[in-house]
Amino acid sequence: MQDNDITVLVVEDDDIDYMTVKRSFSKRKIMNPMVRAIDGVEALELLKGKKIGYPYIILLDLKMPRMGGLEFLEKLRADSELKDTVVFVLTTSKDEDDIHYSYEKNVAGYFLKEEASDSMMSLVDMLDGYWRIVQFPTK
Amino acid sequence: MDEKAEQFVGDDSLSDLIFDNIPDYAFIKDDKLRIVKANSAFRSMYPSEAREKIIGFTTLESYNPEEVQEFIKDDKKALELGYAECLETITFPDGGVRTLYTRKKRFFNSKGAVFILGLSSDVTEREHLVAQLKRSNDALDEFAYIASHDLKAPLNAISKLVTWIDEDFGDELPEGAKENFDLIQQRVARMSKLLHDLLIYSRVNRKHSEIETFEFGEFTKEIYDSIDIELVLKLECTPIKVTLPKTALEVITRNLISNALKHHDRKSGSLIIQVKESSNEYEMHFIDDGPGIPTEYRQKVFEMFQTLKPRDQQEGSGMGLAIIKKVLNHYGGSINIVDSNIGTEFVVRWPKVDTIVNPN
Repeated sequence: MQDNDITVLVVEDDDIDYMTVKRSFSKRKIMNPMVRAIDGVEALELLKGKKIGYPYIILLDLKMPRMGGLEFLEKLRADSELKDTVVFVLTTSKDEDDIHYSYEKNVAGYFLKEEASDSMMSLVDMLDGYWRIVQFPTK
Repeated sequence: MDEKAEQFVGDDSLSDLIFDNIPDYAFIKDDKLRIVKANSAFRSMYPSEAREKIIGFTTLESYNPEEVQEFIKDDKKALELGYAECLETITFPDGGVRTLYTRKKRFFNSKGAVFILGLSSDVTEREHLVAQLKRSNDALDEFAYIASHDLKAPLNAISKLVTWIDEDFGDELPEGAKENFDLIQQRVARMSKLLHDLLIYSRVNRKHSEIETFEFGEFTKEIYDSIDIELVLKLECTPIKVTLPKTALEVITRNLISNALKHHDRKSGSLIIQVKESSNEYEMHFIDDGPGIPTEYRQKVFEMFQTLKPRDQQEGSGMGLAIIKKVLNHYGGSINIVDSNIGTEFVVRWPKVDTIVNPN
């Protein structure tokens, strides 16, 4: 499996936060395809309509209009086709309840959007290493 | 004299007088739940034409059937177990809706027959105020969240965009533009700090600070060492063991020490912290030899967002002393600035008795 085959679905309502993710990836010259959904509703539509090339991982914001990240996780885990999706949460929420609930819904990691840009770079570096070696089930 | 006293104790008219004048609704029921005695407050709940039909009756038909089920349940509980209490919202026979705190106690008369003494205090106003307070606390929590998240997010975005302009086009920008972008960054950081401190102010005292016994001198030294300001003041502190809410005291000590450092006007100086313990309170003096605070501003500095210098000369949210004052108010203490020839002297008084009314 080529590492650059993995698509990143970014579920994020804020344009500048999405730009932050994109900039951080291009700074590390990571060329993986990136798709954006502006909230949980759009993300589910894309996933159920098989519009995202497999394999993919999800970077998920929590506070979003229409359907927030926690509700999205609940719907995702209840869907027999999508329940094994790898999801990383990327949010400003430090709320303990949000963290607990996210892990209860089997997220692969919970990360805070810090004001400092180097924390975002660490996340990108982590992902870069992750998909170099990760194995996904064939579908 | 003794003879008279004995007579008095044995006099039924006195206990009747007391019973009748209790401001609570007082009543006595027998084992068939019939009212056998009721004071004037209790009788006044009923419309005047119904008052003849209280004694000897259950009067249950005067109440809402759902509420009646609750009365009966509590009456039976009191008869069985000896005591029952509850908070109940009752539609009175005269139509008024009141919230009552009712206690029912079982007793036996000299012939061994069982009765319940009921006492109901009208707590309608109290419960109303509690509900109101809960609503405003919830609103405060919501505000705090908005301040921390919704107001900060656009600020962070501004900061990022300016950084990106610098990263992408830094070489092409004229010097004047760069300077203005630096000023934007500075103001964003200031706004961020203001929001942060406002959040702390709104949330301070929401978390319970445990009372601990610890060495105050060491505690102060640790706080001093953790403050990241270049100036070094000679710190002197009374070595004394204190028993106080530690986290709350840390907020106060940290703010006062960092103020002394931040506002000092010479290259070196001193900060003396004296603690005096009396039987009912701790009195802490924070004495620095900085520029001092003019008399006319000694009240004003405790207000929210109050600074004495433009923020361009001295960065600061102006919330430090306001936060201290709020914490001390919560614990029944106080802070004042006393007259001194040199520098500033704050006096913090902290009562030893926990004055916080804590229902739990």
